[in-house]
Amino acid sequence: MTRVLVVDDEPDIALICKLALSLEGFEVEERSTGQAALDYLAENAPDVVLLDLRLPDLSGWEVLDRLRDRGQLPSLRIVLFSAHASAAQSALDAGCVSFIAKPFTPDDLVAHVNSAMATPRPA
Amino acid sequence: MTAAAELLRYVQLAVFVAAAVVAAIRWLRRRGAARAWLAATFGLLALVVAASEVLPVDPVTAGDRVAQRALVVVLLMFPYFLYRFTATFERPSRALDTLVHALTAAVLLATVLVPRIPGPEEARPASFTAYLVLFMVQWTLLSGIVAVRLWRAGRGQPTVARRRMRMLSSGAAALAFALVVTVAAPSEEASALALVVHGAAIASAVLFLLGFAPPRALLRTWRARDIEALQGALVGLAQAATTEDVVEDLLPRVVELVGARAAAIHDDSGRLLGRAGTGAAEATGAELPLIPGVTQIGPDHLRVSVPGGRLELWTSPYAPYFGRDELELIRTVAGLVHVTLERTYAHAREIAARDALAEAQRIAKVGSWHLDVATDTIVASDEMYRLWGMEPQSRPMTREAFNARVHRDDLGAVDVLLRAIASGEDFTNEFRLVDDDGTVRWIHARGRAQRDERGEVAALHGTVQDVTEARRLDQMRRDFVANAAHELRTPLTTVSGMATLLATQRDRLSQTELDHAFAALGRQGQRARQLVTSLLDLSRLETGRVPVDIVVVDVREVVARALETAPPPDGVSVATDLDGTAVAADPDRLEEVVVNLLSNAYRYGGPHVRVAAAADGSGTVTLAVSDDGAGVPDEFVAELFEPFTRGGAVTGTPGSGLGLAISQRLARALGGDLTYEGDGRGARFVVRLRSAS
Repeated sequence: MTRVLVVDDEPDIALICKLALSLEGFEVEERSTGQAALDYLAENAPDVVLLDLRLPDLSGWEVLDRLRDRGQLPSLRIVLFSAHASAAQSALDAGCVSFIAKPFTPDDLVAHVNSAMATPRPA
Repeated sequence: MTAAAELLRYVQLAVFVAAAVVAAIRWLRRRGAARAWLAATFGLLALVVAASEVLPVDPVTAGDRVAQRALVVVLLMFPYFLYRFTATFERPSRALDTLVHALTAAVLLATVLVPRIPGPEEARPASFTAYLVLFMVQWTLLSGIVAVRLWRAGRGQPTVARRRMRMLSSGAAALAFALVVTVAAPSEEASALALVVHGAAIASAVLFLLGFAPPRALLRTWRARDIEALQGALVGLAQAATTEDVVEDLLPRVVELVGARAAAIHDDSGRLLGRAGTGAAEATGAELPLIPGVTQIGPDHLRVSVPGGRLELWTSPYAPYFGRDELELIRTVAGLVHVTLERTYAHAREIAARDALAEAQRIAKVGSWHLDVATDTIVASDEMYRLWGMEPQSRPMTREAFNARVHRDDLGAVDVLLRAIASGEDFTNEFRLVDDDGTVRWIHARGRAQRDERGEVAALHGTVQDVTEARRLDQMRRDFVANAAHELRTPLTTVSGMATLLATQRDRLSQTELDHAFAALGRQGQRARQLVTSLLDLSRLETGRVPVDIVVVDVREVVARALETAPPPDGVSVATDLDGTAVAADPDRLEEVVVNLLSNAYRYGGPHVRVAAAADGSGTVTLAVSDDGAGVPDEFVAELFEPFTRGGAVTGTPGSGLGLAISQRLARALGGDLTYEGDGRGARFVVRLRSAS
């Protein structure tokens, strides 16, 4: 089963992600802070990570930096989401596979996760 | 000897007639008591002198005798009229007046009653000698009184008035002397003495003439020193800066110069600018033009009209009439006074206008400059120097000085601006200035070329305005809109996403999932509603459209209600320390502020929240909400009350980020304020309110 990690401090955004993705057969794990996400990723290797740019402790960029430092970034399919559409190019440059602008629909979310899954990643 | 005496007699006659004519003309032209008595005096004298030419020395007929007596009576009236002339300057004492009148009446009576006037060759009877003594006493006494009074009257007067008084005094003395010699001399030596008598009489007439109608040349000599003083004053006036300088320096000198009693100067609207001398009264007589611009408006009151106002003069009792020469001098002086006044007005207006412009520039932070193309010099206003960080007018505003402050990246824009203006286009542009401390300010520049009559660009004019604050506000407004939109994205994503899921996937969701979905819908709908409400509140507060109903409010009641609306969550306690403090506020608005501060303390603060109120004794009540948490991080303090500023490290549903912004504006709408006074031991928000006790 495909595993997806959702990192967002807004519980209702996390909820809608979880509902939409689990209906499509994905296994969803949720974390609400950057540090909690990093801790989870140190132990686990989900197929896709949905990462919000704005988090209460670390920014999405800082989370990406830590992952790159650990050498973990190339093995992850990360989809960044943010209210700032201007961050799209930066997200791709930083090593994300795609970018979702808020507000998004459940279909957008599922489509992005599916296309991320289509991106080959070394195991 | 006899021929010389004959000649002198005719000269004497001519001089006395001339004096009479001049005096009569003066009186006819200007009237007045002094001029009337003087005209009468000299008319009499001329009559006596002329009649004595016609009448025989030795009266033969009865008619001759009557004429002779009548002539003596008329002659007797001369010193009396002269006395009356003197009395118009200064009233004599009652005793002196009585003596003069009694003596004159006695001599008149004696003249009528004396039995016979002996001829020149006849022996004089004792009764006639007694009459002669009485006659001489009256003549010499009155002439003496007149001479002394006129002499004393001139004392302390300006040169012209003094000299004129003394001329009249000497004339009276000379005439008395001539009479005494005539009467007292033994008749055998008549021809030798006749020369002396005629000489004295002529001298007397000349002195009188000089006294009441001095020729211009003489006046000019007399006035030389006063005019020198006046010129000194006029030189001083060239530097006079205020109306007061003019009035205080010049008016007293004008009074002295023409021998007036007082002078006053008025402006065009009739406002009194200044006055010198005393006893000035309002105009009381019919207007009588004397020379163009000078009008007599009362018995001793002249008005001199000049461009810009008028000068009024009151004549002194000692110099009761001004000659044409003096009138012209007065007119000249009045003109000079007003020219000087106009200059001081213009100076004052110029300074006021310049100050007002400089102040306006300072308030608006607008500087101005112009560039003279021919000389390539820039003249900048004080405010422009200040904008450029220089002491106003401390050094020339050269191109180098101008460019030195401009941000490196904007030098090109400035060059484009100047070239566009120089080519005759109106142009506006914005560029940055960099202060010594690195502060960057935005300048909005406008410029326009001024062309000469040939159409060539002669000068460039421009304004420079500090628009840093306007740009900051504009940026804030744009940030505000972006932030507001951003805040709406989460509720929108949730609401629209849930709606889609529920519409399409409802059957596949478990009951628990459905419950969560509906709860999320409710929460986010509520959140969007709150956000919109808050934005509207903030907008209304910023435009001053929030109605506040100020009444006397007990702070304890407001805090109690706020604690009901926002009770502390688990793990948080609230302690209160409230004196029975009455404030002037709107209770609902104040409760809103307190609820906001409590919610913030619960959300961001420590477990112990404290609400305390105290009056400071100077009309202010402070209501403080504090906690023992970490306090507001330093980097947030500066913009704590700006919309959408929010503490970071909080999980769960955050507030709108508008609470403190709204609370501060509410506190201000209540006539108070809300400030943050953290001291490193937790957060402390203080609401200042107006005491109602």
